[in-house]
Amino acid sequence: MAEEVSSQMNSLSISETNPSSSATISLVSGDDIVFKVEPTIAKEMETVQSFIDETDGKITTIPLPNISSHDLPYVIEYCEKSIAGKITKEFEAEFVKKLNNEEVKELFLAANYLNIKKLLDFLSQVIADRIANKSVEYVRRYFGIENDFTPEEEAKLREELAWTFTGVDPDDEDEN
Amino acid sequence: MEKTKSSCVKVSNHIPDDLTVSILSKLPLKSLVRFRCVRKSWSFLFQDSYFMNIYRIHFASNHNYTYADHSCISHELIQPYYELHNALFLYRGKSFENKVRLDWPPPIQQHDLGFQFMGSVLDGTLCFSQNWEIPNTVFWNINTNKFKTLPPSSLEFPPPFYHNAACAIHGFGYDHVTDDHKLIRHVAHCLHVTDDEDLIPPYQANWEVYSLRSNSWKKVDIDMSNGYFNTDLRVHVNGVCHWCDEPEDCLVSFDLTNDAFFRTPLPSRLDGNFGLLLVDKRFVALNGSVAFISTWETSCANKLTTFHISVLAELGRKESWTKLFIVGPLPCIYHPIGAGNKGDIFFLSKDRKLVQFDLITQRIEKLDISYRLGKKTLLYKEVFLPVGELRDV
Repeated sequence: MAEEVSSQMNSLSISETNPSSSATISLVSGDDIVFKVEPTIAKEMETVQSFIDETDGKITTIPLPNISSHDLPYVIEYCEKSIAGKITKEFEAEFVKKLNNEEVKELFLAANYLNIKKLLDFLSQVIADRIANKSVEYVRRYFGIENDFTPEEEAKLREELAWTFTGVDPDDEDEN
Repeated sequence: MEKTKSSCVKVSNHIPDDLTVSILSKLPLKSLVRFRCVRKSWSFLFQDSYFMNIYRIHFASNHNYTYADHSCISHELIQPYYELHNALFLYRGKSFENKVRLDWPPPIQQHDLGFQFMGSVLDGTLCFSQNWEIPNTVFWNINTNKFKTLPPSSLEFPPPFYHNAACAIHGFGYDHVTDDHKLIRHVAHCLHVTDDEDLIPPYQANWEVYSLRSNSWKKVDIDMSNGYFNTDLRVHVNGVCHWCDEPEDCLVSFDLTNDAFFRTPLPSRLDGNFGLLLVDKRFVALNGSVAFISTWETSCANKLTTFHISVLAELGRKESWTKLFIVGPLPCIYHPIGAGNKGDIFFLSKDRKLVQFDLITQRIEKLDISYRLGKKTLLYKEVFLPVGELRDV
């Protein structure tokens, strides 16, 4: 669906503002795909809204260099549901079902950049649930953390916390 | 066409530190402890008061119960005439100000002594038993008003040379894996004390489990002493029944799904409470975990009480007790009664009223329930009834 929208929008120049459609906001992803959204959707994205407010609504095309055209439709879908008051546990479960852990992380960072508190809060719970049974090594890779323990320090701590190392999922590289 | 993703300018694909807090604070306790091995700064998370405050709030508010209704059930002893009667009251309203007396189902005799309340589960099923040695046990769903008297088990009839059987119910709960209500009890076969039969061991003990779905009893072959057990120290959490082996200072847990027993020594008593007196011990269900509340009292004239709440992250592992909350010192509270479903703990105050303490807001509220002498049990927890489902009662 997103592909269809973007192919239509691609023909528009980013700087061009059409007076008749001044009600809509154009969000431009990092890979230069334009997504037209209602102003109410933009309101959900604090970063976008403050950008609009700062320019007194004159600028309606917002570049979002940190967000890919892969993630933006998800963000828009979530905001639409949020405005409609239709965020249910069922919707949320379905929403993230098709996303792998790396995609969830990307979306989480997108929500942070756009400052959408509800989405950020929801995705932080999704990440917590998905890493809960993961190994220490997996979590380091996932968060991009360098191990700063000496091997002796780490071995000692692992021994002390041995009871927490039961029931850990084997690392699955395919998920990345 | 080139993959569009590659042209996207990513500042970083890593989660910045300030965002990791929001993720880590939502982890189960066991995972959070394991991830102390990820990096040095994470190994100190439990000493980080900023992080721990966020973690506590999330822990206390992470309830999956959607019932908005505020109700609790209390089992009280009343004395309308000469005899004591067992009565059940339902309290509803914001501070439980509306009180309704519930009618017992026919198998329950209100005047009978040896009356015990075993617990309740979320669907509104309560378990009661009466009589001393061989109890008459009833499951009663107060939402549907259906009840079931448990059939006798073969263990109730003592084998040759033994003279009587004594049952002690240790737990009642709901096994969500098999969608079944179950009960576990200990049955002892004893000789009369006057007997002098050298060849027969004086005592034979068995554990058995009743399943409502199969309407039958099953012997559980596990060597676990009955211990001396205190009915105040009994709680059911997510399909696991917990009780206390007091002489051993041990939590005993029985998983209703797979019949597994666990023993977990209680947290150390000498844990920075010098000069304080341990006056009460309780188990409560907190956010799907079993929690241990120890009540400590100052010895000075104006007694203040402090409550330490430790959560067990892993059954059978003493080192997994994690002290998450310290409540108090408070001037007018005796001891906890139990926990609600929303990160709230119920306490008994010194003027014998119930008070509700909210672990999230730290607010304390006096409730319209007085805890008179003779009140037996308060089913404060688990039974949070959906509005409108009580019409049949």
